[in-house]
Amino acid sequence: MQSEEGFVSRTGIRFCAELLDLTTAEVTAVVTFYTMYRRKASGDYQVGVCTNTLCAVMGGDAIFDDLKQHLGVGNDETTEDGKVTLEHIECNAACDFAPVVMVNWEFFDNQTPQSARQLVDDLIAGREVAPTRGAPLCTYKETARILAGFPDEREGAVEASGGAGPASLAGLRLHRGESAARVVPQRADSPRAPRDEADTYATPTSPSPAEHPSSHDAPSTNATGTGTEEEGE
Amino acid sequence: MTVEPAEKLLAPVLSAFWDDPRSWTLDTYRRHEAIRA
Repeated sequence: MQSEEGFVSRTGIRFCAELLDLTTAEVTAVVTFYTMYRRKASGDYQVGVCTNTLCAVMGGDAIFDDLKQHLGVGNDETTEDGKVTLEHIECNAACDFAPVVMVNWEFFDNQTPQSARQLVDDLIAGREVAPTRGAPLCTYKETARILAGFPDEREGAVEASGGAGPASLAGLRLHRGESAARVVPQRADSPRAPRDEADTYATPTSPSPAEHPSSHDAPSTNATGTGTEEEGE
Repeated sequence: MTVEPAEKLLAPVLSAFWDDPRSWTLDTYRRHEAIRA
């Protein structure tokens, strides 16, 4: 339904009910339960800011507030040009890259208010943006179709940017003795360990860990986007 | 009493093959007996 109309309309609910021999109340119950179903027409790009606990404290709340101001919209509201719908989203199991912003359910890791603002500016201007991981961005309707279980027909899209990122593999590498154990500094002014794969995941709108620490590093003053990298390097 | 270092105490289970070249595929899951369906 969302891949055709971009949201689940009342007509769509009736259509599903008739097709599946359910009541419209039963279909409505499903549509209203799951937050990934939209119930009104929205923008071409859903910009979801994770504001669950970890992302929130790592800067997600600051990013959301900043985007509200920058775009002049509130939660679940769309910019006047119909391009961007801003939403709080729930955890997408990318806490090791917090704070996470998702555009049409593709990951933009380790965001800051500045990088998120650049991201929405690019989307609105029609400039191509590249997710940090996962398949290249597609439209909301195309995403909805893939999420419904239809295969992603784009050549090489699924493996476009490889597997797990370095932050997700930190524990595994440590266990195998492939990286040295280190104690996470508790103070923002403690020296940081050097980062091996600093530039692996840098994209124009997703700073690499070299520019923005992952959640494996102690929280520092970066939540407001002021760089602290020079302190340890 | 000896204290094991953290990297020995905590053996990865779910993430044990996340660094395989195509870690997200069903083939990889099956090869590691992570799925039997």
